Amino acid sequence: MELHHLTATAAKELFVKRELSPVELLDAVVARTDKVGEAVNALTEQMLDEAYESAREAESRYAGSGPAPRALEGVPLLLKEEQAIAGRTLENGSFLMKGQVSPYTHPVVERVQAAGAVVHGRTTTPEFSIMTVTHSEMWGVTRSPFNLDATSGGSSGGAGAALGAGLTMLATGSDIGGSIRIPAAQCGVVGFKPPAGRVPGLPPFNYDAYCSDGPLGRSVADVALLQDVLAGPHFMDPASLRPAYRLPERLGDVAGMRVAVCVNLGDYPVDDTIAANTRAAADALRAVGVTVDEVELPWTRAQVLEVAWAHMSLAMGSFVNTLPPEALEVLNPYTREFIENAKVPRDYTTGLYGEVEFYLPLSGILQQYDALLAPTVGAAMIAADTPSIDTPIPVNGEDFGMYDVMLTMPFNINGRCPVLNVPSGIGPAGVPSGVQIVGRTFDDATVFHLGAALERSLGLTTADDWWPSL
Amino acid sequence: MAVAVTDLHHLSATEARALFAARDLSPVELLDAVVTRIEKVNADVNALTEQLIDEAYESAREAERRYAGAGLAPRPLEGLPLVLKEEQPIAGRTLEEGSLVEQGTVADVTHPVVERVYDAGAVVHARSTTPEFSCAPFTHSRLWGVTRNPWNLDATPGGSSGGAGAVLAAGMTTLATGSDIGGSIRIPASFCGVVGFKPPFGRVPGLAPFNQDTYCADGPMGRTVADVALLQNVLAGPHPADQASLRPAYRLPRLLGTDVADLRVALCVNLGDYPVDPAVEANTRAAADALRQAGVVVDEVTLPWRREQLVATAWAHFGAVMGPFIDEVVGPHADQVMPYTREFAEAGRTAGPYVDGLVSETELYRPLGEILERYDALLCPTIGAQSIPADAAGRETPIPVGDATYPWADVILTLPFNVIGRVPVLSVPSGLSPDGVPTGVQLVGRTYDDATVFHLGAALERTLDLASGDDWWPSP
Repeated sequence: MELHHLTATAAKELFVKRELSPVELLDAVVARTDKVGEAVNALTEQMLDEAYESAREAESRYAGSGPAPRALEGVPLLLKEEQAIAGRTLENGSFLMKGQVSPYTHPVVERVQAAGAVVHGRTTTPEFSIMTVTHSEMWGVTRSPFNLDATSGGSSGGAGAALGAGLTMLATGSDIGGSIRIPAAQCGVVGFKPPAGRVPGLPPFNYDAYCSDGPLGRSVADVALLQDVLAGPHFMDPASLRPAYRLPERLGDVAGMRVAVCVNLGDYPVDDTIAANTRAAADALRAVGVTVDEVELPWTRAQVLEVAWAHMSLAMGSFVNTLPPEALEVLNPYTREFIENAKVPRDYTTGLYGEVEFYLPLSGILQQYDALLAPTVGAAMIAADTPSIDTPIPVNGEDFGMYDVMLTMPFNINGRCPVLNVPSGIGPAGVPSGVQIVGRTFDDATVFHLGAALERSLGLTTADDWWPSL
Repeated sequence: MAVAVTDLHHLSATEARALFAARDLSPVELLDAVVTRIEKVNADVNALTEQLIDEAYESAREAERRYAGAGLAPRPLEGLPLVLKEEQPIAGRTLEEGSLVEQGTVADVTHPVVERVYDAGAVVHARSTTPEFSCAPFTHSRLWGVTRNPWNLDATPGGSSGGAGAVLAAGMTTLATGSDIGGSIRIPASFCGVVGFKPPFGRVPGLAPFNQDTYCADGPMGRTVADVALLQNVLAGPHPADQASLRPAYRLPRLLGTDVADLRVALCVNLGDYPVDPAVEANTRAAADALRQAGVVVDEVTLPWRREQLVATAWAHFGAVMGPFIDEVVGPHADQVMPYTREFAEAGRTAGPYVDGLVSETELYRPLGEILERYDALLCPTIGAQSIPADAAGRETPIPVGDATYPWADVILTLPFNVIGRVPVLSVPSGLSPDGVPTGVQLVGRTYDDATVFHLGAALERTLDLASGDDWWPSP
């Protein structure tokens, strides 16, 4: 394994044994970024001076001078640009915000820095993080390192691409409709959407039960490491849950667990190869002693959109109404499309009733099973520059829209469920596929146990040849 | 055990359970006592919408058998008389919410709180009055009339869980359920000299759309802190129909208030700019002194809150969920509803944008969050006024505080902790006012830290020692 594709957990062990220095590892990811960064286009900026300063500080801590090493000491990490840093630009991929400097810092950024991570850059998103592919007129097209014609997914697309390509060790993301899980799936990495309230945020999104900031990494253990840094109450966010939730140190304890598998979540189109990879993941869990049964859900895509838009319109609609008409002209077409959708008047309260209706069948399943297993994305290949949610995406020879092929939104509606995306294989286009492990509300540990067991049992990402050389 | 209260109907739930277990008292006897008490005083107090006597005696006899060792083991609320807030629906029974518009409506669902209370073996024997749609801090409706405070029949027991507060004070039951979206558990607890707990959002499961409403929580009321903890432990925990209900189930410690010597409490009498009557302030400071006596460090702090911002923030919220809920009903029936209901619907329609409210909620939390980084809890009055007239009807009713008068919204200090809905708040009696109506204090904990407010509440109750004498409870 080349240094730049090391896991954070392995790197930490080497740091402790003094077989590797945080400065050497930073050198490796910076060299890798010089080599392949342009092809994947995952970064909005590098922060090398600060990064080398942190890496040297980490080096001295591991050498025993100064305070003890912290949880992420010396580990290279990239932040999603959308997570604000006081005194730095916050552009959200939009000409509407070009050159704007943030007066405040996101709690996630605070925690990552306080834990000793070597923050060395920031990652691309689509404009305002409202698309599930990552391109914008401001930042260009971000690509999957596994197939440069394919999207890295979105909205944390730069984060996923950077991890797949070996440009860093850990990355932060955020997920309001799939924005951590989709890039994790498209880039062959692991991503966790925490339950609402687990990780502190900024208003108004800290109150949005659909929305969560969370970790991405190249292994389940790495994602757990970062998640334990992110979670816990913050004195500026009343919605952040107390006490701080800590994942178990040893992951993969799945003896006696029961998992329900549902390939189409009711009526989502799923490519045959992705369905096969999902069933292979189910078999891999069976191989380690998990009982896996196939179940059905009565959900429809139309229902998902109806409930989700009643929610999104309230938050987005009033924001959109504050924009002057001339502002709309500088927006990307997909953003204008989103705004048109958000403008349709909908009743928020009706959506709340709809959310309960929507939760009941999943809740029924999760009373009998410890978790649900489903694909993350239904299509085998989505073009990196897909311009619109209506651009046709083929699944088994039939064309579908963007929202039809993302199986993630149901678990933003059910926002208190923890969901872990774990790679399940490679599709015919050379693009990885992922599965979602969906836990009971607020039961994070179970999905990490199952994810670690699945990762080990499938043995994909632990093999040298998994990671693309580019 | 020593029973400090001679009248059975004013027994605490905790004492009653001990007597049941020792077979010194039968659940049927206790039910007889509260039913007799209802016959005697409810005509004056008017706190019940209906009694459920047949089912109650059936439950009481079942409890009697269980305590006698025949059949299954007794459950946490086995044999304890309990009154449900009418607003918590029971499938197949009326759900009228104090409104002529809803008269005769029958519920097709049962509230999770009702389920849990029954499953825990409580003897549910009646349902308690509320103002129309539970949207006022006094309990007065065209459908159910005026509910009165057993301590002073001219005064309101508060609202919206006003029937619940009144039945506890008058000894018409042993435990009661309430719900709180602006103070509706804490206000009646304060005015009726009982204890009420507003759980943090998500702790107790609810029904749509209010289960996702961060201002709103169902919760327990009782005559002692221990009783309220007993009921709270039955109500809390994840429910399969409510994804917002927190997992794992939170359990309060069994022993409360034994070790508060290391705790630090911040005292803020006016929360920034609420008017507080001198008598209420004196009782609040007496509560602070009682905590100091128990070994707690109490410091006075200031908050920069303004009523104007709190109210604007709350309406941006109510305008999205509860406002439309009421507006839909009121719309075609404006002539049949109470003035306060029309006022609520109107304020909801003219509220600011929902998202502005969310941003403002975070701004309002910050100074409290900073205080609670340094202190384990905040102490403040529950209500600024000595009393509110029982027949108040809307914002036109003047409420005296000291030498001035205010509309009702200015005299309740509860709303800030619905805006900041994740803090647990316990209202505990702090004394009596010259109006002959009790006063209460709120113990406000860190987000989701329920145990600390119960520890402090139990210590305060023990040190102030108001209710242990026979002369505390009123005899209307």
